Amino acid sequence: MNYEIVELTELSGKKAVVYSILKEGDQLTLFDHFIKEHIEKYNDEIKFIISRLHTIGHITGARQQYFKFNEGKPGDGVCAIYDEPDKELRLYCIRYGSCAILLGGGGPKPTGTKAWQDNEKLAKEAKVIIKISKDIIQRITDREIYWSANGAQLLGNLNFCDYEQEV
Amino acid sequence: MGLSYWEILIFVIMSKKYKTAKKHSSGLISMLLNEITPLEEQQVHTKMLLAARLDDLITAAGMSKSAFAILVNKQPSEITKWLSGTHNFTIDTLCEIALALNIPLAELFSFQQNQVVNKVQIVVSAKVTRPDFPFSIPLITCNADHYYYKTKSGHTTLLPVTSITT
Repeated sequence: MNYEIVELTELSGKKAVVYSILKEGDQLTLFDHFIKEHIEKYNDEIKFIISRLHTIGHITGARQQYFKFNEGKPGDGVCAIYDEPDKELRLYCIRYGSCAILLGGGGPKPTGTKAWQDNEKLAKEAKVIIKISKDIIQRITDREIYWSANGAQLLGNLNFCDYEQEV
Repeated sequence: MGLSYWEILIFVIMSKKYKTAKKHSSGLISMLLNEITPLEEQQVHTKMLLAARLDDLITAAGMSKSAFAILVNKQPSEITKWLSGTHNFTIDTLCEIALALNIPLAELFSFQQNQVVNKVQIVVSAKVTRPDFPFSIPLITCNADHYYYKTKSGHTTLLPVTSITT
């Protein structure tokens, strides 16, 4: 998968920068696809998530308490936006401190589903964000990606190509 | 005058190294943000700010979440929900929290946040003024109440401390 990290202008603010992933040849980010897929059935939940993300970006910052952790592998930062118990939609993301988050995709988590591994759609979306997190950590380790002086913005080579992994 | 090969090479490397993420404007997000009413927006803001304030107050009180859960006689999972910014608190619960934290109820709604300073630039300027008494660098310290000073004219003089400090 060839992709690029992009900043979502509507959600980013002075408290946190909100990123998502734009796949090569696609006009919609992973978060846009998440909205598009679920807007019909879960309109209120989608609006609630967007409102929370807007508040995170402009007012509160990405405080740890707003997220559910341990969705990915230890130390990869993969988490889900905290949802109310009666809500179904789950959105996966990567939290980088309180200053930045990267939104992936997600899907409905039916009642009784304990882990994303139990649901095909959630497993697919979770694996994508876990892979992205791994790629970013590798780029940071290789010093190809940096954090800006204020710790809020990713700088450097934000384009990822699959062939780089194969080399 | 054109740029040299090295100047172009450095420019290309630096522009790649410090490249920020491309800005992406989403029509879907804009549309949904416009659909959110001011009331809904205010409700979400208030819930999230209240949760953040509660978290700060628990931390300031030197308590862990589990210790706070015991104090208010709740399960730790209930406290996690309170702090998630999704909980719709009742007045009764807020009174219980204020009492447990030993603060006035209104304190829970003091949402002003300390500004986090990531970078500080300090500019120091000095203005040299001529002292009333023409002295410069002390030569030696001889005792507790008298000092030798070299005057501008090159002479040394013995001064009591009181005459310097006044």
